Amino acid sequence: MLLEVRNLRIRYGKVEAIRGVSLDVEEGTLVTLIGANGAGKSTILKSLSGLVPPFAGEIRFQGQMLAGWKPARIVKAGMAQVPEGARVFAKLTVAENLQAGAYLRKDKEKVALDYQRVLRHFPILKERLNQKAGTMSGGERQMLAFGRALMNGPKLLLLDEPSLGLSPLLVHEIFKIIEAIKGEGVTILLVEQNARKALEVADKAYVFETGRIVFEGPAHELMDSEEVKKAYLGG
Amino acid sequence: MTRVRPDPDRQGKFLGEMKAQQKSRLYFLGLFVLLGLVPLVLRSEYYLHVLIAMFYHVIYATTYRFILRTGQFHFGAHAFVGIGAYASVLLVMRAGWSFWLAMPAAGLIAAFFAVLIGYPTLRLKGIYFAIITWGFGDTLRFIYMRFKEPFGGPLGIFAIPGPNPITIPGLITIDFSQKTHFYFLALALMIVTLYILHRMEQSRFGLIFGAIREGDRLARAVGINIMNYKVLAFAVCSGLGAMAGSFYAHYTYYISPLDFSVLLTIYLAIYTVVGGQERYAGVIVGTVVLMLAGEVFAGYSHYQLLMYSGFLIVILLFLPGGLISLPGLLTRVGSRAEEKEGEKFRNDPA
Amino acid sequence: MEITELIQITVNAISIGAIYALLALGLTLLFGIMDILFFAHGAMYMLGAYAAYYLCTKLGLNYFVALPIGVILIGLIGVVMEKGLFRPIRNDHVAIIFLAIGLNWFLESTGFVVFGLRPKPVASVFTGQAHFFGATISWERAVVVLIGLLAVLALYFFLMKTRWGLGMRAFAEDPLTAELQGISNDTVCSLGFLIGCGLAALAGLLVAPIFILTPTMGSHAVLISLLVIGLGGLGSIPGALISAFIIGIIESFGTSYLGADITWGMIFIFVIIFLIIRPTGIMGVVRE
Repeated sequence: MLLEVRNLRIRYGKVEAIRGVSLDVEEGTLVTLIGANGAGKSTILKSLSGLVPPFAGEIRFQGQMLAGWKPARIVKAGMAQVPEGARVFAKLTVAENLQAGAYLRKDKEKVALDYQRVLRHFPILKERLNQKAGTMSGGERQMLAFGRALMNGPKLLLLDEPSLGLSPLLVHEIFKIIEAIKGEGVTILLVEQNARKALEVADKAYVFETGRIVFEGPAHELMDSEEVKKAYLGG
Repeated sequence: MTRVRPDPDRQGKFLGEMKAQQKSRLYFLGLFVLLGLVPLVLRSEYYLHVLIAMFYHVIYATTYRFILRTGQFHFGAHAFVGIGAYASVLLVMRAGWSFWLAMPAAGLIAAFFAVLIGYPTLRLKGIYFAIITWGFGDTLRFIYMRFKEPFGGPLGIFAIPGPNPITIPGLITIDFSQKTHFYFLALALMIVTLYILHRMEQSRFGLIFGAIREGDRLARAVGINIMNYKVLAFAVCSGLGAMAGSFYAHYTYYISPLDFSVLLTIYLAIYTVVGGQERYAGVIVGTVVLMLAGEVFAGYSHYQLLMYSGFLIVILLFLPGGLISLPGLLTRVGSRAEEKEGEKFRNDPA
Repeated sequence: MEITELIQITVNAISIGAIYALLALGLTLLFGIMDILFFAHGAMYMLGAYAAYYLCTKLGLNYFVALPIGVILIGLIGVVMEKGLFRPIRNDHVAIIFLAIGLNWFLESTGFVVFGLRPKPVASVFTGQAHFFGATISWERAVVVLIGLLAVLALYFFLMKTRWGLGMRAFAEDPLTAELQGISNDTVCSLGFLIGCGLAALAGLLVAPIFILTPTMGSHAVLISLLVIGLGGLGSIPGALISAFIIGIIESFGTSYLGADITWGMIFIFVIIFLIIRPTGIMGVVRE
């Protein structure tokens, strides 16, 4: 198992935002975590990346406990995240954004390979390498954020609401990209509120509601489940 | 359009605050009465002097805090205190005005300068306001030093007359020949200032600034022109501080440009933070405690500043709420222990 | 006005501007990267100047040996301050400003206690003057200009061309996302303080033979640098550079024709009026 989360609890002050979440991500699969907005899904990802300390519970990545790890160490271990809203570095050029993704990497040849791979995936970035990231459209930024995360050289890619705020056409494209990345052997944990789209591409899914997991199972089973359909897929 | 739901948490807090306010109003009244009785018991000129100095420093510090609370990083309190002192002295000594006219006039002049400086700069980012107010204060200092006429140059102005005597026929004559007379004047000024600030904080003013500080966009959404409020608050506070400056000049009989250096503002900042800026009482506690502690080093200003700034650093790191938060913290320590139980799995604090 | 006089005043302006630029550089860096208005910059500058006194005059070290020692030493003091004092309250911007203020005056008054009140001399390293086009500049000022410009170029190169510089710029925009790339916020801040305080110390060490050393020199320098970076646009290095030279020119011409104190009044009024017309400074970069 690439990632194992056991009984994760996270508190903000006195409020317990995450109340005992357990999930598994197997190598080479695409696992999705769906549920309504504001339910705390992003908090879990923040905690996995070491930005928010858990209150209790265990996170294991490649068999190692991540307790007390700094974000940089987690990135180095092979877990990358595309934060919600892309959050590219607007005043840096596209090329610099991608370099920032490879900040910790010393293996120059592999970085160069990854760079070529990213530009192959996102030809639009190649045209804009010297342009400031802030001047690009929302879809382009999302692609840059993906590219930046891939430059981390991740084994596990955490995606936080990649389709949020994008036009249906772009959403379609983003999901195609997600599938392509998965096709290259990168394991993905996808947090999405667009449940239908997420279930289409996922192998396994968890349904999350106000602090806990309410359903879990293979993605196609959840898609067929009457309950899930009614509550999350709009009937 | 989004519906604004009443937040029960905040309402509860609000009611609690109201109660606390009534209580603290009583405390303040009691304190003022006590202070009014002090000269009857205390005959020592030295102690009276310490108290008088405290009174006008409380005025400086509370007005400084009010500006700070409007979200502006004020770095030129010394400029306005200085304007008050110089203006009032010149009006009395050169124009032959009565002190009782010159003091409020000095306040108005300072308020006018505050509007002049504040109107264009208060809309800028807080840091710019700091730069400009500091620069303003230092420019004034240059002017005082450079122009011997009428500012007296680097040596300042000597032999400033005290306030004109007040005679209540058949009763008493207050001629300011004794410290006690100054004592009551300073006390009265302080009470008036605190009252005005209190009323401002209670009015729309305080509510608006409270809202702004808490990141609430409501104030802006309602369409209140915050700028005008900010300028007004800045002008009123600067004017009040200037009146205290005028008192200072006529009380000490001597002013020089050195009295109004940026150090004055630094002291006020330290009083405010050390005492705790959340409440009036905090600033007052900070001023009183530090001034008393400072008396130990009276005459060794470097040691005094060393102690003050050291105190500031310690408070910022270990007691962010200031001295005033200490009692509340102590009672809460007990309930803290329970929170620790689940902290086995904690990352390093980011 | 004669042409040589004009050249002379221009040369003076450049030498004043270079000192101001150097003074403002570290402050700009800390503001631009960390959004900290680091008042204690002045104290670090003062410490740098006194380092020159103790290392050169007292210990008899060669000036060019003392220069790196002083810079590194004070840079490290900056790192210690960052780790011990600023890190715990990094997210509280008001507290950080107060902390920096407290530190500046804490160090200044410590300076009075430790260094004493009497101004300290540092022997000139370069004597004599250079002449060109009829203007003269003392060699020691020429060296300040040279090293000042080199420092600006080096910092620019560091920020734009190195991996750490990239990390710092990424951090400046979005600390959280930078952290997600493995750009440790802690490291960036320590590095920022190392460089920022090192630059302040460099300025202090460089001016030590020219200026009179007193513990209050730092607070005065902070005010000047604040005007410089305010005029230039907070956090912009090119802006600070341009405005340092503008102020240098005003000061140089002003002191020649009007007198020093009036000139400073004018500079202040000029900066205010400029900011009223263009609140974002010359380069127009202001962070919300």
